[in-house]
Amino acid sequence: MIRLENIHFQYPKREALFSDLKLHVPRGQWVSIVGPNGSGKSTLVKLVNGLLSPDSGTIHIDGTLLDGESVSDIRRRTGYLFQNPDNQFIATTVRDDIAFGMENRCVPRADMKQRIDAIAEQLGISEWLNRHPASLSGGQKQRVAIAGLLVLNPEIMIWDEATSMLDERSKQDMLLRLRHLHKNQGLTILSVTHDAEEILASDRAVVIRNGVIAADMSPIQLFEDRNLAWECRLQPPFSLALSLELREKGMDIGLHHHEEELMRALWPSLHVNK
Amino acid sequence: MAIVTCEQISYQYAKASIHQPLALIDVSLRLEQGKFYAIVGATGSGKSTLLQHLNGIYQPTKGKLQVYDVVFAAGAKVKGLKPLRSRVGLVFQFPEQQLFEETVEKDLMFGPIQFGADEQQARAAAVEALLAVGLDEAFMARSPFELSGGQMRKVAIATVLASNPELIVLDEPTATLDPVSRTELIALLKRLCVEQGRTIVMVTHRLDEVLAAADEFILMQQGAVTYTGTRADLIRSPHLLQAADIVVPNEMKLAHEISERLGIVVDELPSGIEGWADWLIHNSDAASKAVDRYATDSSASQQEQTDKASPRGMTESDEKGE
Repeated sequence: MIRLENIHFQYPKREALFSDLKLHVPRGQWVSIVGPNGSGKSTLVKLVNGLLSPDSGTIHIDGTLLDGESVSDIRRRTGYLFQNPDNQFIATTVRDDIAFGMENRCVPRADMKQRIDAIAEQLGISEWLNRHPASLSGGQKQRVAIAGLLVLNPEIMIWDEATSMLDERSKQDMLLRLRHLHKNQGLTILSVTHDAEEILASDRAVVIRNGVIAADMSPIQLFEDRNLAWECRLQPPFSLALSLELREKGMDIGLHHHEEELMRALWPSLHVNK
Repeated sequence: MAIVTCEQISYQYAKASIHQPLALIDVSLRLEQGKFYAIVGATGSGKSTLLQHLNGIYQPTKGKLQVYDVVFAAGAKVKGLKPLRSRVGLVFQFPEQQLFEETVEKDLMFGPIQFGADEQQARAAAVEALLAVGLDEAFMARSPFELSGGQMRKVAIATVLASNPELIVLDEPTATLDPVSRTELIALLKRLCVEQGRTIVMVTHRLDEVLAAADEFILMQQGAVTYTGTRADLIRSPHLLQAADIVVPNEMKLAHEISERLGIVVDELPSGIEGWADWLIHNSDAASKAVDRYATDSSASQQEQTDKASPRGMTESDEKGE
């Protein structure tokens, strides 16, 4: 689905960031891009979306070579969200802003209202539809930006820290929705994130360090390698951190990142030692 | 000693329409010197509004508030708050947006000079604040704008520390930081509290990150305080968190369930990953059996290695062995 071959990339007046980078993401896979700050994660996803062009090498999206001609068509099928939602609002009301993407994709007017209302309802943003995007908090803006993207039913989603400002509750809701879309509609996801729950929900963790893919592993393997996880500025969620700590101290109950599983694994052996 | 006393304070924004609910409703609180307080609440629960009362940015429209020796009574606007503001350091959300000087040093010296320090004193205070947030002196000469997000946040907090406040209040200081920087920041606040006796009041919507660090928890919901108390009491009342739309941390769920099943009072349960691991090992027969088995049978087969991945599998093989 996404195929990067022999990518070379360099920002002006800086050292080469990528030399001969290669990454294949099959259709329907959910990939988390992680790594230390400044390692090239954002650059990578900007290349995939055509916001930046490689100095050499090729990027294919669903078999189509990404170039000046195909970029607008590819962007139409790709939903891209970045960290600061302020940079992606165009209209003066939330409703118009969500409509904007659909207008670009020639969605009939009659359908538009219905689709906006439906997505707003699902994401709990109906109350804000007539507000100016600038009047919303950071987390609210991110929710609106996500709604504007989901309403377009993209085949590929590329997120760059797109949920970083959401409160815990909204983050959980969003993750549930993402899981659903991934499972039932085969959505391909490429996401730069520090969110441990999101990483653990994904199929694969790609670690970028100094412009190279330093590791390509399952999310659980990433957290098992404590030094690597720390280097990527990541921390396992409580249940997983506890099962890792227990294993290290000689009590192996398996690795669990759901609290219920952890409980079930603990009960058989638990009693009070005075 | 109480340094802050709120007596039924309410607050209504000046521009709010009469139909809009109050931003704060009948809040009563007492904050003691040297403790770490976490104010936890969902978006719009009034936690930022309450925070900004602590150095007089907002003053109550009803009720009475005392911060150190300054009394704010409804209807009487208090002015000349500079002395109070040198004692109460307020760190806004995204404080790095308030950095404006060309070097970290100038940004750090700005506050002390405002509060009457001379250049030499201000520089000394700046260095001390920088070290306190875990950055070395080399950062003094750097531009704040070339730092990483986590470093900028630390510098911004240091600008408040440089004025040597006794009470430090922070509005969602961990928002958008990466998880490791978040942990480091909470550890820093805890140090300021324990080692230097400063009082910390921190607003967050993530209870999990402050669960082990805070001494007291203040839960807010729609402008009202619905709970104040210790961690143990909070664990006993998860329904309050649900009502306030706060995600119940997994650590709390574990503590709650273990307390119920084993009949142990929550106060005797550990906190933090290491604390929990040690406690669970101490209170588990599987662990002691596993240790015995590996000690007596040094030629533990590969099969047993696989078995130990599943606690049930291990129990069964133990039974067969006996």
